[in-house]
Amino acid sequence: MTYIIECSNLTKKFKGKTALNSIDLKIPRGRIVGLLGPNGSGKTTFIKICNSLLTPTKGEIFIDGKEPGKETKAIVSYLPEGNYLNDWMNVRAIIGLFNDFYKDFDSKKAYQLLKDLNINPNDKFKNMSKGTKEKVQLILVMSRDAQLYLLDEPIGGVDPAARDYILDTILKNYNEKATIILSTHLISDIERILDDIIFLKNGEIIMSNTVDDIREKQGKSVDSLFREVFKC
Amino acid sequence: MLVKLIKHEFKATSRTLLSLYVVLLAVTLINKLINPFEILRDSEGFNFQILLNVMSVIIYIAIIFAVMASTFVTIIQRFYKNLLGNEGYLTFTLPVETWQHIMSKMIVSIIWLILSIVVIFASILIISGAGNFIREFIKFLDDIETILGKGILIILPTYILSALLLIILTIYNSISIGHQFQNHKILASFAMAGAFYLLTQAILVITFLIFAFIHYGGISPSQFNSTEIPNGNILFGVVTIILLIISVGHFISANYMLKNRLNLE
Repeated sequence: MTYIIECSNLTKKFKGKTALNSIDLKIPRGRIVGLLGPNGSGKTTFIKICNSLLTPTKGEIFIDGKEPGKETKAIVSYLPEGNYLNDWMNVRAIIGLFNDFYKDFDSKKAYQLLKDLNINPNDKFKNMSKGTKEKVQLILVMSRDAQLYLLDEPIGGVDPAARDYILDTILKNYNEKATIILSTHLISDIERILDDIIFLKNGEIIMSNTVDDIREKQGKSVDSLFREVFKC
Repeated sequence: MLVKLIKHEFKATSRTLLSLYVVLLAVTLINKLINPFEILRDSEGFNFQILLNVMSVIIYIAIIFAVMASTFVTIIQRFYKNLLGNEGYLTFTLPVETWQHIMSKMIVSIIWLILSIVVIFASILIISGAGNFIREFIKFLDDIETILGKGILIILPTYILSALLLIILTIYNSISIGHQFQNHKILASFAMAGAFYLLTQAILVITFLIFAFIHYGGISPSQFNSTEIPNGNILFGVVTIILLIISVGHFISANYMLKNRLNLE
């Protein structure tokens, strides 16, 4: 069985600065992986390269054994850090768009999740708060039956109460053969759902391990390990 | 997928443009009813009614310009924002080939440009009185055929279409290349568009010179002292082919930039 993500010597430079430095990584299927690191450590750069939104300077990456492209986009569900919603659209229109393009999109599920979160599908994005827009984007992403979910800071802009709902939504709505990669620096909030962690610092992987190993063998929580490793 | 993309392109662009076209036609009908053009022509001296008429003529002309300008602005904005702005994060993660994004935007842009020309023509037609205009237009077409030669009535529309296509694809390619710059992306896009414009002009001038020497033996004014332009149809045909070749070049280049050199920061 191929890995869902495989990359070797993956490097990305911006304006002379190295955002990712020769990353070698193999991520198996059916895992929830925390991509953890301080700001500017290369988390977003890595996720964008997986989505072919950035072109690597060097090295190669394969999603489900293929180079990022039309075929991989059909099986990757991506939640970007920022807002990509078109202000003039309403929720119903964007659901229509997802339904048109993604075969694995379940609009019934999307409408149900909207109802749970009290979001009116006829509301336009220009009248929504930042947090509500983030919730809509997460609903769109989690209403797909994808093989790989790439969630960049999925809980960054919402209050702690909504964070729990979002994490539950993620857990309830993905199929167990799929892999979820979550990037965040709010570790204590997501620790309970992670299987594996990858620590990134200055564009390099400084540690990758299973959460069980960290807890059982090292007797630490991911949060305390993170604080130890990234001590300023 | 291309059909679906085109559908969504229309949805996104029709909000501004359709309403503007409707406004133009409404102002046209109002102008037709109060007929300020005729009142102004026949008037002597100055009074309040004339001021009102001058204003409605100015508004009419302003809206015609607005229709043309907005069509271009919408075409440029849509390409830039939907592909290289925040919306690009969704657009480029749809399971669609990059060339299909460019193609769908190009087709929809061409349709809007043609529609804007049709709407402006229709408006002028209504203002000027239909019968008169159509008669003049048919005479104009006859004259063109006499001057430029047979087949020109097919070549000329193809020429206009390829010129529109070239304008759109030059803009797309300029933006795609301009985005490669790390700073001043928009300025770089304008600079690219300027450079492509000069290059296209240079190619056309050279083509014309070669054509003039082959068919007229030179470019001295005496050769053109005639009511007819011999082989004018061939000249337009050749130019059309050149415009299409440059357009294809722009398409391939824009596709390469967006597919292989994309960096959404």
